[in-house]
Amino acid sequence: MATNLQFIKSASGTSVNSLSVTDCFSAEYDVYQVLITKSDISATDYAEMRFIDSGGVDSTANYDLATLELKAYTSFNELRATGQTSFQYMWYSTNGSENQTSTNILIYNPNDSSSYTFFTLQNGANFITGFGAMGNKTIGVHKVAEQITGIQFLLSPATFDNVTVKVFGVK
Amino acid sequence: MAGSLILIDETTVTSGVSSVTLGGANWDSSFDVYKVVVNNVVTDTDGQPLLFRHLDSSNNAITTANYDVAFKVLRTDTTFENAYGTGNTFHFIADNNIGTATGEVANAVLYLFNSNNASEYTFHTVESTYRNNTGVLRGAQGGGVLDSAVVTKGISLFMNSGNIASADFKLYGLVK
Repeated sequence: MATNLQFIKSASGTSVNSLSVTDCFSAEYDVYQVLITKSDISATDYAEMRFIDSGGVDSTANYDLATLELKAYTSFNELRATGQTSFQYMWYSTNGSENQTSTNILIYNPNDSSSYTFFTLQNGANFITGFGAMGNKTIGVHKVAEQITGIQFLLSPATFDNVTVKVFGVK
Repeated sequence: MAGSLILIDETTVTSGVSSVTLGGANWDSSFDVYKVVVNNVVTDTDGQPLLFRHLDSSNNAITTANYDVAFKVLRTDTTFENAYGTGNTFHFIADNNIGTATGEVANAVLYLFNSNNASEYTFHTVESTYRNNTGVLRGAQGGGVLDSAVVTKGISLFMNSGNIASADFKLYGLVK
């Protein structure tokens, strides 16, 4: 029985402020599932995401995002951003190897040069030291009709102590 | 290695159609949970929501007022909405108006539950992301139910008015 969720590649980093997963998108798939299975960071921060195109990491002001933060310890919070140079609020963490992350991202049409690239994200929960669990549900669009070949996750000013990303194609 | 996500039906739209059926005559009743991937839906008529209905055992869309929904609308322009309703005649995928300009398209994933159980209601979850006809990014996070205890055999997707100009739709079964 053939599987229709196919592993493409993974990438890991240690003591880095960014991790790029290059050449993970192709004409083979329209929709991709990206799992962040490890994300230990050096200080409280939001992880960000950018796309990689033929010119490298795209940091032009074409990223729109909306996220709902679901907090176990207080009321939920909304964040919105348009025309940014990255997707600014992918997931939020505090320092500590025990409190990170369960992030699942679906990316639509990155390889299609005539389409914008959209994503949805669900983060089950991170444990925010001193507060409690917090997850988020997020949508985003990269407003450039171009071929996207990869993704970059980054922190500023914090760094990833450890980060692991796995990319699957939905056939 | 056996897979856990099995493709059951697929439709690629390249010219205008009023609706698309996933399942129906191609329905495979051997799964408990189904996944629907809605990819790059373009409307030919400006300002239209993307909707769906469940199919009955004869593969006809169920049009009775038995559709209940509740979802959060994430949006980049203002405070998020609580969207809800009972006794509708359809479910929403993109609840707001998709436009015809570049990038005004809809993408989504649905999960369908209890389709094959004649004594249970059919539930779904929806997670969508789309740009409306003013270029605002929006998305639904929530779900709904067909509050009628009948067998369902897939879904029919359609714009509120006009045609689906292009899109790709896939229906998967999740192996038990």
